[in-house]
Amino acid sequence: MAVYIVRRFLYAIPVLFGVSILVFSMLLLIPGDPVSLMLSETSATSKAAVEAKRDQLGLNDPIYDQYGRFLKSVVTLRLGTSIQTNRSVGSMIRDVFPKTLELTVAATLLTFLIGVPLGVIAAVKQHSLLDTASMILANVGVSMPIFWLGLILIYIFSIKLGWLPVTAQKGADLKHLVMPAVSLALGGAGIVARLTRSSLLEVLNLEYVVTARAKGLSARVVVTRHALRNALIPVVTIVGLQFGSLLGGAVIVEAVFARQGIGAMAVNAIQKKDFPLVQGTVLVAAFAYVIANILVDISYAFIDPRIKYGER
Amino acid sequence: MDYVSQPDESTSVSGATADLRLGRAKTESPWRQTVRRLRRHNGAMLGLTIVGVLILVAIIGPYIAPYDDRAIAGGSLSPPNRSTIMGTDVLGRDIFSRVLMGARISLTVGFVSVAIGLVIGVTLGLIAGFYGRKADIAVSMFVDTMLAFPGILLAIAIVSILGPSLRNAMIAVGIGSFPAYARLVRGQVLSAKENEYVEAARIVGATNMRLMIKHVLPNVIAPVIILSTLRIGTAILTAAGLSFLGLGAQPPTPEWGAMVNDGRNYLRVAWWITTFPGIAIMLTVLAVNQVGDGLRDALDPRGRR
Repeated sequence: MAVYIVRRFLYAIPVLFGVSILVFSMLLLIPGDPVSLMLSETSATSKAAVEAKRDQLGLNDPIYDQYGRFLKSVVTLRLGTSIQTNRSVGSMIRDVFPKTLELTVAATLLTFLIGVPLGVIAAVKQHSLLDTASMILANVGVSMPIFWLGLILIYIFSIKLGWLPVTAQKGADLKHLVMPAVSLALGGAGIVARLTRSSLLEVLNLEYVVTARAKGLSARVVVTRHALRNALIPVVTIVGLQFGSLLGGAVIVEAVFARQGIGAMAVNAIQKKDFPLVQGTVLVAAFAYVIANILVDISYAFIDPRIKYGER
Repeated sequence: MDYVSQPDESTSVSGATADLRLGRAKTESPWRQTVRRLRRHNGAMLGLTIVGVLILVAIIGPYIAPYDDRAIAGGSLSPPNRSTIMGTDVLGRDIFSRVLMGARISLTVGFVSVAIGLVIGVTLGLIAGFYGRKADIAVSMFVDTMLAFPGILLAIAIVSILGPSLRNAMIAVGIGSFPAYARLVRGQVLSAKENEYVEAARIVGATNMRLMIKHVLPNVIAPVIILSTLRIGTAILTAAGLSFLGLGAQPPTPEWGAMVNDGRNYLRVAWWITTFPGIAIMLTVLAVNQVGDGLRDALDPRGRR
């Protein structure tokens, strides 16, 4: 197991390197001179001023020197300096990252809590009206644009009913998290519901489940204690992989609900052409995704004892 | 792919009839069999109908729209009524006409960005799977790296380089989706190239190019079609998301995502501006996904998920 964990982390290293190279080259790929763009946002752009800024940022050095410096700033978690705020990108991201994490973790939980029961109902009552209704719901959930769902929730629950606040208020109240998390989670919940249904249907036909039934166990015990355990293994995979699209979706949800977070920061950075901040946010999101995937892989070994990672 | 009829399809038939069915199924062409399976898939048929209507609207939209989508049709923010059935936006433009015009944009975005992802991804996947070794390692590393960028974020990063516009949003979504194709095709090619007839063609002297295009590619086409159909919905959603964030279609383009964003500040007083374009997106994606599900079941009965 330990060997597997170490190997899994080692395999992630080249990917993380690749990510750092891609994010680094973003700045090189921008058409026109990024420095002129940066300066035009703030002050007049005389040729001398541009050159001075280029020297200051080290943009006149060879590419590999620049990449080396970039890598160093990544490893030291400083990630350069934001053009807008003049603060270290690393510390700006550290300020808002917990907000995004809170949102994605809440959404992941909801994905599971909505998706699995829906899928179980559909599978247990296969071919019934409940089955059809659950699957229509799941398909609609998958097809809804997150940003639209968020606005519709705001319209119904904040504007019309007045039950939930649109944005976070000062009190550390979980209420403000409900609508953002729900709008982020419904798409994934649809996928999870469909997967739970088909996975459970498959397991319900296996011999050990038939045996459990034949023993006279109640349908409820058969499903929850016997069938669901195995049926949920592929579901956990998907929930884990969903974490990535949730991170992406957080960009939109944060925009809709005017939440602070890494996504909102990225969009704002793009609009303001604050390239160090764009690089930093994209890099951190990608790293978080890679690490989440590793954790999912490792968690299998605990969920499914049949998987033995040491030997391959 | 094995097109022999699946036993689970013939429910409660006697052995003799089953044989007859199997015998008949063998003479049926794979294409006709797929169509037959697809026609029995209710969701897919409903989806196809909706997609058909959408394509029709995309073509004749400008002729049936009651108003010019950029012209003032009535008062500002007037609610749905007899002359403007989906109401008007803050500039007094008719939402219904704009939703109709938006069909063309969303369908184009869906197809074009999928086509971009497909061409790049299939090419890379073919090369990686067919040549193996260094080519495989290089492509696989690249694909894994691209897959590390979560969801819409890669598209956002690309748009930040190319600049915000509908065309660039399509390119960004296309580039963002090629890793999925590359990975899929690579895997399929790895097994397809082991077929004896590929070896036979090689011995006869077929060039690598010919082997790839004529002998290996047809084997991987079914899963690629399935993935493409399912990806159209994702592409439409992602591009609409970009436009919603102001990184895609620019005003006054009647793009559905941008329209939802237009209504955002007037949600309290004019729910219709946001609601109708959103429903249009949802219906389109739902329809395309249903067709994709149906195709998956029809082309690959064993791969049901």
